[in-house]
Amino acid sequence: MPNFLLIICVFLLINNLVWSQDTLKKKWEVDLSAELELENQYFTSKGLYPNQKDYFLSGAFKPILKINSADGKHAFKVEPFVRGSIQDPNRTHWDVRQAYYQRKLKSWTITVGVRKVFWGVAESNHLVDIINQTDAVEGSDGKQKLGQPMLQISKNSKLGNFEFFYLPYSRRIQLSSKTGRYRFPVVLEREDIQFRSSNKEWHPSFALRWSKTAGDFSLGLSHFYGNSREPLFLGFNPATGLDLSYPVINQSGIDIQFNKDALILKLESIYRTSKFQNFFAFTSGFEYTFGNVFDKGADVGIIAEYTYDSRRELTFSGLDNDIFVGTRIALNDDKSTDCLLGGIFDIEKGTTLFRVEASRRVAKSYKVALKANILSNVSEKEILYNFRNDDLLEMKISKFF
Amino acid sequence: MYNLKSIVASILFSSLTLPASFAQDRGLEIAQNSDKADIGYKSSESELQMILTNKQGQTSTNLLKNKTLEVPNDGDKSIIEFNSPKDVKGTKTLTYTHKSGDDDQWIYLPAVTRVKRIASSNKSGPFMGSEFAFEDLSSFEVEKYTYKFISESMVGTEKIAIVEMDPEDPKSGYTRIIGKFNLTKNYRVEELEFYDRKNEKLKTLTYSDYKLYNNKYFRANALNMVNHQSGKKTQLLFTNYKFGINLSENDLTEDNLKN
Repeated sequence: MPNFLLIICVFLLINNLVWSQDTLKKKWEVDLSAELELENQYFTSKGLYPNQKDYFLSGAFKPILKINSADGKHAFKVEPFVRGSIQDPNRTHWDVRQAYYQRKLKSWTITVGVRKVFWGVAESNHLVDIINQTDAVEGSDGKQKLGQPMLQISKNSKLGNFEFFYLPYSRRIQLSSKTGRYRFPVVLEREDIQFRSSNKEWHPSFALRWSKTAGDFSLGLSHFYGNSREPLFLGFNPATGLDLSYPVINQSGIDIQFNKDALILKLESIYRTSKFQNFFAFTSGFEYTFGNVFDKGADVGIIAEYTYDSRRELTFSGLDNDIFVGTRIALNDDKSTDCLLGGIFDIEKGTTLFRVEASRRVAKSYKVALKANILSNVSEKEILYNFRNDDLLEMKISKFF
Repeated sequence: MYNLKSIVASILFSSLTLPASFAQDRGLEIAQNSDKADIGYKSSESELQMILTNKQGQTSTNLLKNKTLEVPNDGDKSIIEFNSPKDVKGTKTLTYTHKSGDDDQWIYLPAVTRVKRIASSNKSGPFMGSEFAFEDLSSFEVEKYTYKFISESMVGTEKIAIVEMDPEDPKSGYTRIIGKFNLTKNYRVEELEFYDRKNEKLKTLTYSDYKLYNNKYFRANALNMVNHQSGKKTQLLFTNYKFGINLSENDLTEDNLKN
């Protein structure tokens, strides 16, 4: 595989030489922005395990540097991330979320570097999304991702958008330290979850995706080969805690969205195979938006989704036979006030997770975000059973530069 | 007797219908001419400053960047990029306007690098807390309204026509829009008066600071929207208008939102 990296380097070098000749004549747009965030987390119940704390204070800094050529052919983006946590050392971490160079050639786009890529259509579960590892200490919802080194080549045509990814290196998941919440009885450090392949994190991964919008339908087909991002969970082991590892997998995915007036229908589904486990999963549902309610400008969206995962109790996310029902309210005011209320219910086991999120701009460049996560009736068969005392109230204040 | 009846009937009938159909035809003709005046601009780019003023006179400002591509025989394709407020910086919307039916619309959320296709049927809702509804900002297509010519008169040296436009789309927030077209200045729009679903006067949009670009295309550099019911105002100021920029269909794709 070093050969491949060499090819990338040569390609970049040639590309650099080609465009350095007219660099002086080119116009560049440089843009620097940043977010400084202060986060308060309060867990309303005592932790299940020794040393777990109830209150957490942390701060994060998220700058973004963008450099684009005025002709739109060259783009650089650098997006580092750093968080410092007073109570949980594992939440004190930094990452390169994105750092890439992108070259556009008519209908082709070539991207080299570290990038975040999102696939999928559902709201409550992201099955198809597989390029990036989750930044698990950033949030329990899995929305925050670690940067992924890649070579990405995209081609846009009448037949749709074709994407190819070469992913030379895989990232490991980071979980909380012994003082933190959302952890298992045995503290798992990053290196405790092993790769199954002999090349470990350097085992190369590849992915292909085709997507197309045709009228009311948007369709995506994808395939991934390489190190699993999500740890394979084979059960509890009293001696070592959880049996977790990163196997080499093949995953085929499909995502479909249908838009008609205020209604959106969604389906995403995957089939994943490895030496140790084959499974099938899907998430499907709808979103209906009542726009400009009572002519007061607010949008009220109703979302309902169902997830089935044939891994059942070995589903790492815990979503194996669950219904999500939620509402999203956007006031569309000059403060961009919005609110999401929802619940995930396990049909068989009865476990319920309630979530409330709200945010609003204050003053010119500040934003306040509130969040509550409440777990109730957690079945002991659930992986979430380890977190049953981790009801969270969170407040974030961000200043934007 | 029969003849007399039919003659009376035909006189009555014609006196009622002829002006009506004339009003429709003349109204449509003015709208078509106004639309035609814009054909051939191919692509344009501009920066927008959106100044929101509430009842108490407090203001807040949004900064946006807009790129539009003319699509022959269909509505325009455009990208709007948000620059300010800073917490939404990098958010982009992609819109494919269609002559009939709903537009296609996507939004790019930079924090999660996700492109989401959204329901575009919500035309009457406000854009970013402003007095502009989404439908006020989408590209003008003749087919979206039926027309009624009201009057024509000289204002100073310019001939101004007043035309009523009735939205075809039942999801529109308006029963009618009264437009003032400047026939002397290539049918450019001078003012729009919006009437809400209860047929009460809701908003007035005034176009000013018109500039002629490429010797052919009039563009207002200031749009002033006043909401008569809420007392709020929104001013849209355009700067750095450029026409015939290097923009193709390849630049206005979902994939292209992601950087």
